[in-house]
Amino acid sequence: MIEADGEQLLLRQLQSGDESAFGVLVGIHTPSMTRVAMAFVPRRAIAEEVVQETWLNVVRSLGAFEGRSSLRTWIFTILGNCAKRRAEQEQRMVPMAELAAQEAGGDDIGVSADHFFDAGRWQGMWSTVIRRWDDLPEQRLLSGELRAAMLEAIDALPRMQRAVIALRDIEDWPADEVCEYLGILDGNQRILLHRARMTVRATIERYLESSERPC
Amino acid sequence: MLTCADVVKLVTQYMEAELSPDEARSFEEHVAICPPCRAFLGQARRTVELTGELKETDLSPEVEEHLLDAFRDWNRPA
Amino acid sequence: MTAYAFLSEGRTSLFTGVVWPPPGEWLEGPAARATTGDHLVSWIDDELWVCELSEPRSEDGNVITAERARLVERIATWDESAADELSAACVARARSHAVDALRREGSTESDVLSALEPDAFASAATAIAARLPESTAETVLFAADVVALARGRRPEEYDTPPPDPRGAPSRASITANVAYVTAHIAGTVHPDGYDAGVAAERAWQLAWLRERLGISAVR
Repeated sequence: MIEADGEQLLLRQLQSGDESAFGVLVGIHTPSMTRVAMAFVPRRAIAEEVVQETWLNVVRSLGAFEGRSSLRTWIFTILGNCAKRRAEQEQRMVPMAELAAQEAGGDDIGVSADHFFDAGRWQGMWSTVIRRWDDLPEQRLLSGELRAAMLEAIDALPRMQRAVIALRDIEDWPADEVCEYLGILDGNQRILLHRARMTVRATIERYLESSERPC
Repeated sequence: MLTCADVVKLVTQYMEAELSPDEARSFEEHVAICPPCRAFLGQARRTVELTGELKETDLSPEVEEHLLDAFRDWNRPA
Repeated sequence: MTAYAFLSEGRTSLFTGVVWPPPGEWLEGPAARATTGDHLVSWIDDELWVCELSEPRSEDGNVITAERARLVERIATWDESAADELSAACVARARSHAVDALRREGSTESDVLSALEPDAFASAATAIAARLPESTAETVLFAADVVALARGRRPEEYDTPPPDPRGAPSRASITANVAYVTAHIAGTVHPDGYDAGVAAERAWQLAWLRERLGISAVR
């Protein structure tokens, strides 16, 4: 999230036609916008078109933007409107609440059952080793390879999980704003966020297990 | 005492401070005495931090150029 | 009242990941919590600190919370070797609980078990347990699990090679685990019931800690 003061500055730069400021804004928000748009429309290509259309609308309306909401909220509101319009044209307007409820169903706790004792005196306890990550050198966790693997995992998530983790953990929105924006129940938002985070956790774990560790 | 599977199931709610005080205490009492759950809680926290660092990314040059063109057009004096 | 805070390595709060400021500086927020001298064994961790909490504070079972807290001084006698000593003491007690349970049942296996070193005991446990009635078999296997846990392994890993040291748990966190499981075993074999057995074992552990660390004064 861009801090409030930074946002005022950014807005002044944008309204005075600062190209690099616009480039930064586009670079920061486009990936998450695409993930969010994919919750509304059926295909990635359409979502990308929606995001482009959103940016064009943003550019056209920048002069009229008075900063009553945050720039981010304003951009994502335009995105939501464009995406809904597009979804109607594609006749793919399954209510978000329903999609979210479907994805939140079942009793998947986010880690597969084969990591736990399934019977006996240790039933439900870890049967496998879980490693601490806090003693890893920082560069292992900041590598481009790991970033790519995490992004790939997020993009492969079911669409509502993907939208929720993009808004909550990449864009850093609070839970209530995400629920309101997507029109989903808080309980489902939490389950989707949990499952999405657990998938990313497992991706990081696999990356760390498979890549060589320095001795 | 919660099981480790319970800790896994509750970890997001715990980190979001959405558990009741009693539930949160049970969660903590388990984590305090369970080495893999201690590691797991740390992993969950680190996962959220690392995901938060995924923001900046490269756009395809064509898309970026297209949007910048639009921005320049908007900015051009009529 | 003296308040204590068990923290992970580097003055880190286990539950929030927050790093406490150096002694004397205040910490605010949910990580500002401590425990009393009566509840130390619930929260065993890498570092033990005496700390001070602002007023008003609220005490709820084994946790004291306040708006602000600050570290006063570290109790240097709590270190890895103290943690390992407590761990070893618990391993021995877990085995003696199992041996006592067998003696009460009149089992001849008790003498065999009581003579074995921890690792040999863990290796022999499965075969011995197979000859025992279910309840005592479970106690023997639990005592063997305590040996495995104290060696940094998972339960039921009695004869596996030494665990991979990468990302391994800290010595103190292993001790916290071993002490808890030992108290659980004490609960399952105690003549006055589970809660009485757990309470008695936790009281023994607390007395051990206080004596070893020289913090006998409570409240």
